[in-house]
Amino acid sequence: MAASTEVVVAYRDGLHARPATLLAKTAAAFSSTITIENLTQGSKPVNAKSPLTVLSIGIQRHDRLRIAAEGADEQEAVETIARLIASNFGEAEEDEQQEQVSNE
Amino acid sequence: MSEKRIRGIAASPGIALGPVYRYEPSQIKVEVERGQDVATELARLEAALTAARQEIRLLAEEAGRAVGPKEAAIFSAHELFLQDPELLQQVQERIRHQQSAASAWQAAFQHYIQQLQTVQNEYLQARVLDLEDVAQRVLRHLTGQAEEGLQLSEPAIIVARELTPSAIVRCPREHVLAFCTAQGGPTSHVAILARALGVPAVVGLGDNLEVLRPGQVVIVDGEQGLVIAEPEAEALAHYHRQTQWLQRQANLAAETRQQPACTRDGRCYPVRANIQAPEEVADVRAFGAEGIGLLRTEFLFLDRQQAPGEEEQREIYRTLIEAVHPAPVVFRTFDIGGDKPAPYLSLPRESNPFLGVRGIRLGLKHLPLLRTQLRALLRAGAGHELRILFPMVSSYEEVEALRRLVHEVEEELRQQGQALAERVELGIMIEVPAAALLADALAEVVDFFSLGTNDLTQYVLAADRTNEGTASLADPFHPAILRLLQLTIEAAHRRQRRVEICGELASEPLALPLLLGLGIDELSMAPRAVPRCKQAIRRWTLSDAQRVAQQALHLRTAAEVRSYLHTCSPDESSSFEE
Repeated sequence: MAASTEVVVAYRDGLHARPATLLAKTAAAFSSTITIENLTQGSKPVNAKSPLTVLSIGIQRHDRLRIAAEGADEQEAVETIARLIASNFGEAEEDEQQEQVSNE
Repeated sequence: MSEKRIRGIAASPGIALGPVYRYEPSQIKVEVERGQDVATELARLEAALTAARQEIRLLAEEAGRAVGPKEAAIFSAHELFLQDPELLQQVQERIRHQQSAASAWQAAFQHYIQQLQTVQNEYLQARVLDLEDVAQRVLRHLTGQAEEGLQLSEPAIIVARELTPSAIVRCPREHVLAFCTAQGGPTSHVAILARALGVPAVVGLGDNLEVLRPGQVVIVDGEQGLVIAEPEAEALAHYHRQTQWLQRQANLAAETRQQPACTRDGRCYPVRANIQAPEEVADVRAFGAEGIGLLRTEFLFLDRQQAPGEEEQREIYRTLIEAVHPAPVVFRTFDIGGDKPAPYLSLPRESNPFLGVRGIRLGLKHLPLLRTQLRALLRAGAGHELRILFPMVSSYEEVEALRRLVHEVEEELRQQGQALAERVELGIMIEVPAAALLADALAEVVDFFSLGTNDLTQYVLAADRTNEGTASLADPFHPAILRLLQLTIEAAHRRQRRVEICGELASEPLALPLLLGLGIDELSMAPRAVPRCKQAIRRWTLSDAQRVAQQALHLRTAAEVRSYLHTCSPDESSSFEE
């Protein structure tokens, strides 16, 4: 048995260092084997527990990902990671104003 | 020798004058080589990783002190890269095949760097620098080389092809006047860290950077993205005055932030704060903002499995109203669309979310959700005046439907004996060109307009500002935008309706005479930008601003508008001679 789900990335700048490492760290907490596959870019499934891999496959905004897991906690693993991505990695989406610069 | 001017990207504001310090750390490169026995090489690797990890932890602490926890988070990512299970497995594998630890490390890490370099996304590509920072750190320990930090004994301008986050954090802050780099854009680490440190920076200078020689005196203008090598007397005098002036204005802005913002001829403007999380409410008062001119309520609706209930919303809205009372809060109803995750709505994926079901279009489709928010708002406003703002309006029918809905909800609450807001003002965002063009009709049925210049610019110019290829087209100084703003404001004023602006343009000092001159009534922006804006308002007279705006409306290009504004801003003329 294996569990999998699909999720679309809304994160504005793509999965840069912080979100990529957060994703890998979250995956590493599970005993199951977990892979992530970028359906939009047509890449192969890669190890979701490797922050370098997650960063370097260049996941961008609007990409559709398939998260798959196999092992004792596969269902929970897939759900947790999908939720993390869906929650924008715990950051508020800034739609109106990017970082403001002032000479304060 | 003659003066040379080179242009880059303005990455961090401020102006500096000083000698060039060239920072050119050597890149360690090892040959593919055989190691000693496997056990020795594995032990070497382990020792180097431990040393690198300790260094990174120290850097994280230093960064936390120097630039704050948000920017320091990058070093936690560096630490996790060192522990990457896949990377370590590959390095160990190579060592078991007789490679030295250094050459195994380099080869395995290079794989990720090369892969990231092929990604078609500027922001992600800029992260190559993070990987190189980590890779070099471990290689240094494996080859026994010391870290080549920035060795400054006197104040200087740091000139480098590129700067890693660790080089910036480690630099002796008291001696750094400015950063100049060949690479990098406005979102690179050097830009983010320089802003956090308050150091001027110009990035993306490309190969022109090579004309800057060690020891040469240069001016770095982080406002305009300009570097002047060997400046002549005139440029020196100009920049000297401007530095002093910027400093005076910054001090003045901070000192007077709690005072009203009135022009020299006596017109006063409310300057309010844009807020997107309740925690930010402390900043409203701290930076001298007069209430909240835009509360983005999305924070209540995203990142959760169920929609927020009426009572939960009411409590939060009530807290915010009381926190800034007697100043107002402008509540914008949720602006959610297919590009934002709200799992309980199960929104379909749209091929173009910016032209899709978002803002009020979504609210009118999911009526119970909007109804609950309106109930919560009307109840939260009990005993107060309430301002509600609707996003993404593009037609008269939408406004009619929204007004009907508000009246229905009011009636329902009254029948239930609930206390509600004493007076309700309804406003709409002007961000869709159709709404701007229809402003005279829409002004009949609303109390105020709020100009969302960011989206308006994207929609009018058909240019996505997050797309590298079109970002430069999405210029709010485009004369087409100015004309649309004029049309909107005039239509509103004919009906005695108020016009606010909550887009980024509000916080650009360069745009201020345009906004005042076109007739804006209230401004709202990120809290940090409020003191500077208030101070800028105090330098103008309304009549001067009106003259400037009229002139600008007759120009043909965004570049002409910008350069015209540079010539007539008081930054450059009258106040200089104070």
